[in-house]
Amino acid sequence: MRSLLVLMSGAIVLSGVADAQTRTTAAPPSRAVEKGYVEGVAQSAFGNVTTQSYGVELGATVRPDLQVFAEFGKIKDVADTTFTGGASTIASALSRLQPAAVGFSARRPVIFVAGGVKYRPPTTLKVQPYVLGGFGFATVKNDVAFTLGGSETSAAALAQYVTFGSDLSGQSTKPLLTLGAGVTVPIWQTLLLDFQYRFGRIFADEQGITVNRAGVGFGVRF
Amino acid sequence: MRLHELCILGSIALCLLVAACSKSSPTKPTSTAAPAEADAVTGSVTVPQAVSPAANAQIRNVDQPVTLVVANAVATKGTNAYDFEVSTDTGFATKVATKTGVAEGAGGRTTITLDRLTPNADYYWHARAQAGGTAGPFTAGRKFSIGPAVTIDTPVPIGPLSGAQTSARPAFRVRNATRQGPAGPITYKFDIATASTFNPILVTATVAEGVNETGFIPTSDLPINAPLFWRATAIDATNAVSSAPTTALNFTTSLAIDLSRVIQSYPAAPSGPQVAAWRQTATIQSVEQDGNPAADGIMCIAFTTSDNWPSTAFFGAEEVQVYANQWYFANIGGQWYGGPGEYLRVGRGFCKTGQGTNAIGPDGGWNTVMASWAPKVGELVGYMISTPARNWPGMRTIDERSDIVVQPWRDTSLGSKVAGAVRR
Repeated sequence: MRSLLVLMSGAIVLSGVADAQTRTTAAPPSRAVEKGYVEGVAQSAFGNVTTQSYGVELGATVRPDLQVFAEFGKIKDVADTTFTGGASTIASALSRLQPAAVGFSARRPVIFVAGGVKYRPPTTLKVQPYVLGGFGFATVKNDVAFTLGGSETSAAALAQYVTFGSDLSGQSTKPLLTLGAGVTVPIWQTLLLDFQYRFGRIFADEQGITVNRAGVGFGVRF
Repeated sequence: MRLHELCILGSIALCLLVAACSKSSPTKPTSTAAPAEADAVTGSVTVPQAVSPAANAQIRNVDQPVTLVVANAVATKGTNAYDFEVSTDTGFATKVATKTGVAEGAGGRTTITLDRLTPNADYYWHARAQAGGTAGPFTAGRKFSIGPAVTIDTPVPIGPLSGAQTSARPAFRVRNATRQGPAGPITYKFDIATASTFNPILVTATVAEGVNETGFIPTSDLPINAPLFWRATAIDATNAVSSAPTTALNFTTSLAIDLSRVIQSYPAAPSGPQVAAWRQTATIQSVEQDGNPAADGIMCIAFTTSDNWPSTAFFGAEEVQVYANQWYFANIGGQWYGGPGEYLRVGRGFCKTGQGTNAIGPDGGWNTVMASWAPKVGELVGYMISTPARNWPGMRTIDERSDIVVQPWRDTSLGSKVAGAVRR
């Protein structure tokens, strides 16, 4: 993963170099000039758990080989074993504290927004590869629910048994680093497919959260 | 280029906007006793389970201090420390005991012992755990009650009082102790010892309370002629409450002689039990003797009578009228032996000679062990006067007697000090 980060960072640096070069050399005459794009994205997210992610990405062309982009999205769950283990611990305790059967669910959905630059190296191919890097913020929600006797129990009802700390309740917004790569494939007129991979690191307290996303975007150039 | 710049600026503004919203917001506030480090993740803590005392427990005052026990709580971070609170109201507005930061106990339970609480009152207690910067919920308040205090005053000795001379089995008596509170049945523990420290205790006995007063009589003889001490303590075993013991009362047992247990050592004389049944109509006033042969082995037992003891002819000799006998008692091997000795003649006083240290036994006409008895200086010897008992019942008159006096044997030839001459 560290090597991947290095590669991504290198790619961004290279994009800067390429940017300097494009200031001195003209862009290939065959390259189509687009103002920007917008696409919807569906991904498989994997890291602590394998889940889904979806969102919207949009970008604007700064130069033919360089775009700025912003993305918004949601990852359904990034819960790690510490988080689910904590919920399991509380569930076990609840089963001793009261007679009803105890069930629980523990998820950590993430809503994120990030922005950065996307470098698109010049190519003669019909497809357009790219690398990108950016920063943003992710809001991680601790979504823990317990059932007693099969019925979901409110936090107020649970208050007699447990006081939840920030490890199992609430939400927090933390910085997000995102690095990625992909290839854009024009499919018809201005429509495109974007086969992409994203590495994300949420700088959460005590223990950061790493989430990988791989998926496809469907969008339009303009 | 304006569009591009707008895009970049927009992205930066978006980032700043999100940054401004960055925060940690638990759905429920965590009340923490120790402030958690900023942005640190706090743990979740369950409620401990109250174990003891049971709900609505009735606790005797004597069973204080009360111990509170909880089954340990569960925490997702850190190690639990516990807070215990005791209050006189269900809302815990009036706390009478608080213990915080109690380290979690081993074996799944955490225990604290309270200081003594005011008796005869109801209390409520609860506990909670703290860990990982989070204070867990308190257990539901549990009620327990402390019973009223029971106090028992020191019983008042009746006898024997300090300095008393007693028999070997005196009756120890106390006036029943007064008490406060719902006392249970009271018993009294009598201790007898050779030292006022009551260490070691020679005899101890616990007896049930009597009416108004309680007494104890030892079932075996106490050490004779030894300084002894006794005390009594009232005990409420139900409430495990005791009075303070009485002060140590000193007494001395004299070598009291139970006539009914004396082995009669003269062949023709009434038995011990028979003499014991004789009316005691005389009182010995003094016993003066000297076993020194040079002093004639003088034996003077002065006495008075409340009755008129008749005389009788000495073996039929009317001119020799006798009306009494001196008695001697010897403690030999822990057993009292005795019998009548010299006759007292009418008008001849109360002294007799020939009762020397080495003569009193062999010359007494005794049988068994007393025939070889030679009292040692300081040995306690018993003396009594009776109507004629020697050659009894042949010379029997009215069968009456005196008390018994026990005092050390004296022999000035063996170093005894006698103040002045023996009164004859």
